[in-house]
Amino acid sequence: MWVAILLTTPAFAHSGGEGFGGGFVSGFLHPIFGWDHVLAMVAVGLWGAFLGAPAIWLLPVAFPLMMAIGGALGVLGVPVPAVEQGIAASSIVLGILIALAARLPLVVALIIVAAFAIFHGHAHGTELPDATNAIAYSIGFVIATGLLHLGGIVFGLLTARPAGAIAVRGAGAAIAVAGAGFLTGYL
Amino acid sequence: MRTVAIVLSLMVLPTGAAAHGSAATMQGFYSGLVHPLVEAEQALSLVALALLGAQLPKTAHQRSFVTLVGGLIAGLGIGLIAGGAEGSEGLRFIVLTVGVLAGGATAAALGSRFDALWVLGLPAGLGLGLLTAPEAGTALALAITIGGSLLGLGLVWVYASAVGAWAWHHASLKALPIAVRVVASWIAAICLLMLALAFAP
Repeated sequence: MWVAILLTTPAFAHSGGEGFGGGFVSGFLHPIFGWDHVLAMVAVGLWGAFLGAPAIWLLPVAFPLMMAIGGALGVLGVPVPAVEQGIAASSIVLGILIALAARLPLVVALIIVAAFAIFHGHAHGTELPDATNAIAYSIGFVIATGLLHLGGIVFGLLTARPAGAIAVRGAGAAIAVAGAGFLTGYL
Repeated sequence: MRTVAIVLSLMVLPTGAAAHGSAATMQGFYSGLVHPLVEAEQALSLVALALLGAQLPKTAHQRSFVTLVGGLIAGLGIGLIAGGAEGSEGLRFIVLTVGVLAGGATAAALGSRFDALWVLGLPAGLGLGLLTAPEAGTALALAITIGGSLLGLGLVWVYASAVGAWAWHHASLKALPIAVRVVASWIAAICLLMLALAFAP
């Protein structure tokens, strides 16, 4: 019930980017309209589902926390080198790990996801101070990130079936290729 | 806890039967009541603290509520005497830091391992009380506004804590404790970002 309450936004009939509603929508849409973010978020959920419990929920718990640290660095103006390259690399690395069905130890998986989360967070964080309602913006993109993880997890549950496992690994390969496209500038 | 939540919610349902009452007085009550909901940092920190409390063993859970209320009353009292501190950066830092710590601890399920985390209720209550202390007014108006604030903060905590306790200890669906930890991580992340925003150059 509380999650539903916290997820509701004010009913602004004419929300045009102003106020809490506009800021929330802007933040919510930011990761969704950035394909480099979308693919990496979904890949985190996919890989977590592939690795199974407890990674299936530990990775989506660790990611927002580390992303917030990266976001805080971005807000505070602390430079992080090669942010865009790091974001593209996250899709490549996570995609390859899914495609190869790599079952790494939980600690290693957490370190990889946490490291990439810093880059994603920093990219969001640098845009936060300019947002109309920065607090609503941050709430929006954190929730959107979590929902993208959930989407990846739901898709990743297909690994329970043989054909589903092939589909998931194929999706991983596609994510890796897309990441390479972002890195090289073709996408 | 469920009974307390039901009783508290029934108390706020009736409208004031003030045939000759003061509209300004009731406005102060409702202003105090909704204050913790309209201030994002206060709502988030309170929910994080409540979710952490729900993870704690029963005695520690009760202590977290008592220290929160004690801190609230102390903060409101100090705020009344010393003057309102709404918008104070130092208090926002305290409240948001508690939100980060409580949310992070809940996400890591530390509440089930470290009873002492109930102490987070004290700085949170103190900070929230100081932030919500009303400005000058008649004694009756102040008392009613403070009553509204206490009720509002209490309702948020009780509801969030009841949901968290049910999900953590009583629900049969295994995904629910995980959902609580995920939501707690979101709250910690948002509080951390709000901290950075508050103190950005």
